[in-house]
Amino acid sequence: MPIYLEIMVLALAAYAIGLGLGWLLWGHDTSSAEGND
Amino acid sequence: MPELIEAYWPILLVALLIGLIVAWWIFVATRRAKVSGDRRDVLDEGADPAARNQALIDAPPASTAQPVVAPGLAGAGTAVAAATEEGAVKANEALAVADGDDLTRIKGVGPKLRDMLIDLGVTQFSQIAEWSDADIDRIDSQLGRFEGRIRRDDWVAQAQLLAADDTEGYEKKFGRL
Repeated sequence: MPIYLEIMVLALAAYAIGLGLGWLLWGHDTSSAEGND
Repeated sequence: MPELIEAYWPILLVALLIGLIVAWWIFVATRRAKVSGDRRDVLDEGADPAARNQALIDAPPASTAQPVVAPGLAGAGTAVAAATEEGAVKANEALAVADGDDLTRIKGVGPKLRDMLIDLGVTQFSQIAEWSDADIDRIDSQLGRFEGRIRRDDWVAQAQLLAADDTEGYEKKFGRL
């Protein structure tokens, strides 16, 4: 596996972790009206 | 692999930050505003502004009495009086419309022509029913691009039947109302 591909996969993984963190921080809204009414 | 992470951690950090920024943009920046509170609309039944507007509508038209004019303000007083009178005329016109017939029932008269007729003081079928040739000429000349409509559509005969409430006779002659 070429090194640039490995770096790309790692970067994508980091990007996905960032998205997941963001969802946990701002997207995971337990008090929204849609979910609890 | 660990060596790669060690060597390229700034790139991975940037990717992580981009992920965080994208997530923030998706979950925070583009989120629609939540509706909070229960502010009533002004047109809701029972709302104060609606009640006030209804009271204004129901109120009698402004008085046409001349205001008392101070000697030094004679000019201004006249202007105010003229404005008051104008307002009263408009209010009376509106009342006349409220009291008048629906002139658009005459075939050939649409909302534009109805408004023009109201401006000319024509609000009832009985008025049109009594028009003489001279009246028709006089009104016709003030109808602009609608000139000729009165005779073409025979408003007078239509108005006579409508004023007499002779729906059957009207429909026989001019078609369904």
